[in-house]
Amino acid sequence: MPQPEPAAGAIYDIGYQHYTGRRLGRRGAVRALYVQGLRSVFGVGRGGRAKIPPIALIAFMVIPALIQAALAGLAQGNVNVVTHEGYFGTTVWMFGLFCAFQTPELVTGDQQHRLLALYFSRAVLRSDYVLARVAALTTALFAVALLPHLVMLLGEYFAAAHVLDAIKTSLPTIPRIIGAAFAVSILLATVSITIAAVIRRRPFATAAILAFMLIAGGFVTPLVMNRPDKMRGLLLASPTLVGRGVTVWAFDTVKVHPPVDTSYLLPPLLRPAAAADSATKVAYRAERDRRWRTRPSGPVEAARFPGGVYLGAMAAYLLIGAGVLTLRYRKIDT
Amino acid sequence: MFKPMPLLSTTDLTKRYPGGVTALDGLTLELEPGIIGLVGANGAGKSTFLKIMLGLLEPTSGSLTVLDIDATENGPELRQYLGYIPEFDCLPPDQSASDLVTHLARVSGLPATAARERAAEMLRHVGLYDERYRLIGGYSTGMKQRVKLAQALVHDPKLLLLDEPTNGLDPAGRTDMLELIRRTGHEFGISVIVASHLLSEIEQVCTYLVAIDGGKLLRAASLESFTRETEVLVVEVVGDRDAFMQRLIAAGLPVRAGSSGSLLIQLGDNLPYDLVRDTAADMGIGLMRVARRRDRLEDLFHVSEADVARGQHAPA
Repeated sequence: MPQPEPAAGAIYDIGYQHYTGRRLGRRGAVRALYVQGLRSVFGVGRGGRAKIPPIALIAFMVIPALIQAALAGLAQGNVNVVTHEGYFGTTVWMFGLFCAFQTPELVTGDQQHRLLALYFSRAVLRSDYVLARVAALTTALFAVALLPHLVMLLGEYFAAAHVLDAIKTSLPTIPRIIGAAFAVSILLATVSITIAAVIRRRPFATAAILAFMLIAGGFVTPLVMNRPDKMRGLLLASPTLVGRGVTVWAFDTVKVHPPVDTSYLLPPLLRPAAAADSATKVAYRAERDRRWRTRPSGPVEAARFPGGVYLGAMAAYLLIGAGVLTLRYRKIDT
Repeated sequence: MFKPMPLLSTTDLTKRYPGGVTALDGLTLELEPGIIGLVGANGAGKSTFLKIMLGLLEPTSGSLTVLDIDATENGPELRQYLGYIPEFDCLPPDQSASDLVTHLARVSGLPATAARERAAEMLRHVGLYDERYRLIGGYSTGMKQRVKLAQALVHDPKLLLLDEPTNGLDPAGRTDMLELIRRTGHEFGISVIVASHLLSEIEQVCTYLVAIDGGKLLRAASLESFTRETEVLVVEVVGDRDAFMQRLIAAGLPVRAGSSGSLLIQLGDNLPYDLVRDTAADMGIGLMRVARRRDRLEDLFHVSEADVARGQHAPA
């Protein structure tokens, strides 16, 4: 009697198969933690609702850049709503919110659900886990920080009469953009992860990150602005202000935007007349400009710290963060 | 395996916590591959022992080699070959079992494609193939326990460490879990160390037992030699039971008081029927019942604890 043919597509229990393929060890493990961390910062693989906060915050962060790019197109590059130099200062609230809402996605859940026991019983060291998570958040913030600059640069290029010239003019700015964005990213990532690692509950971690990043900054700003001589040291207590200091320092060494000559806006016939403006008017304007320039526009400008102070403060934040994280994760009982 | 290698060997392994609690106290032990039960009361040091095997805790002194790898020196290397199920709930509710097990396979060092394939295969082995895309938050305790087993097996470990794997499961779930453990050991050829305070469960799957108490090794032996000693002679008498018991103890028998006025005599190699009969006749005590009974391992364990405490067999 012929054996009945097994139905096509039937599932056979082929028993347990041993794995004989490659094992990537610690490096593969760290990479997996990094990639998964990066995905969860942006809510990838976590369902639709988890994607709303990061996307909304990124959108808000890019809006000033879009406006700037649009205006640059309309006004031929003569209007500066925001500059590369001031962009971090303009969008610092969005950065703070992004850190506050997205950092707990990275570390709080792992602690709360005790997933760390499953990680630490695998081919990684505890420090590998911490480094992978900090690297993931740094990368995410770095991308988020660069995006508006990219939009602005593209806006400048499209608005320019000679694209190549515009690109050439912007070349010295680009390493500053990248350097400042990276410095701010690694600083805020380390501070946020340190806070989130110490505070177990998600809402409290979010609140603490917000408080430390923004409210502290808001608290410090008026004090430093009013009494820069006595109070300027307080500036270093706010990581966002330190980030601003590093940004200003990064852009300061070279004049990035050439002074704007507005005379071409006048009809050609009037140009000589404008040049021969009355002496009093010129003197008045010069005085007004001087006052306007000397009035500090923000706490960083008021404090007048040399760049090295901000870099030192940043290094201190990174070291303290590394120390706290090492102790914290060594102590966690899995 | 080319040559017989001990699964695990410890020398004088000691762990003291900063608070002064000694969780392990000079444990020296050598284990062969198989399904090994690690038994002891709550707080006996089982979880501490497992965590030291995983390199998650550092011993205060002594050494531990697992699969021929020093556990304290080469933690990450060793952990590539270990699977671990903690006793507590450790799964994120907002991920699917498939995503989680795949991710954990990659954290164990498997390449992406292999991780996906093995995750699906393991979830099929533990019986969650159809539910694998559902979020873990909606799983029952039994299903979560299966996910924990799948993640521990996904990277094809050589040794699986289970900490109270039947905790919180209903009777059917317990049976299923024990069957999965038995299959892992016998069909998959993976050595298993199961820590549990429920001897009655462990004796269903294990081939070897390690009993620890207060961080000290009580005994390590095959299951048969353990069960042989769980045989007791139940004696019920009419008369002065306590005096009868004292006489039997004086005669060198391991006797303890049982429930409802009975006496339990531990059975060793020789059977003390004659001695019991003669002593009863001598004292004028009536024997109501003399019967052999196989007790559960728990009973042996109580005797052993008493041994350690008093250095001799004594009425409990």
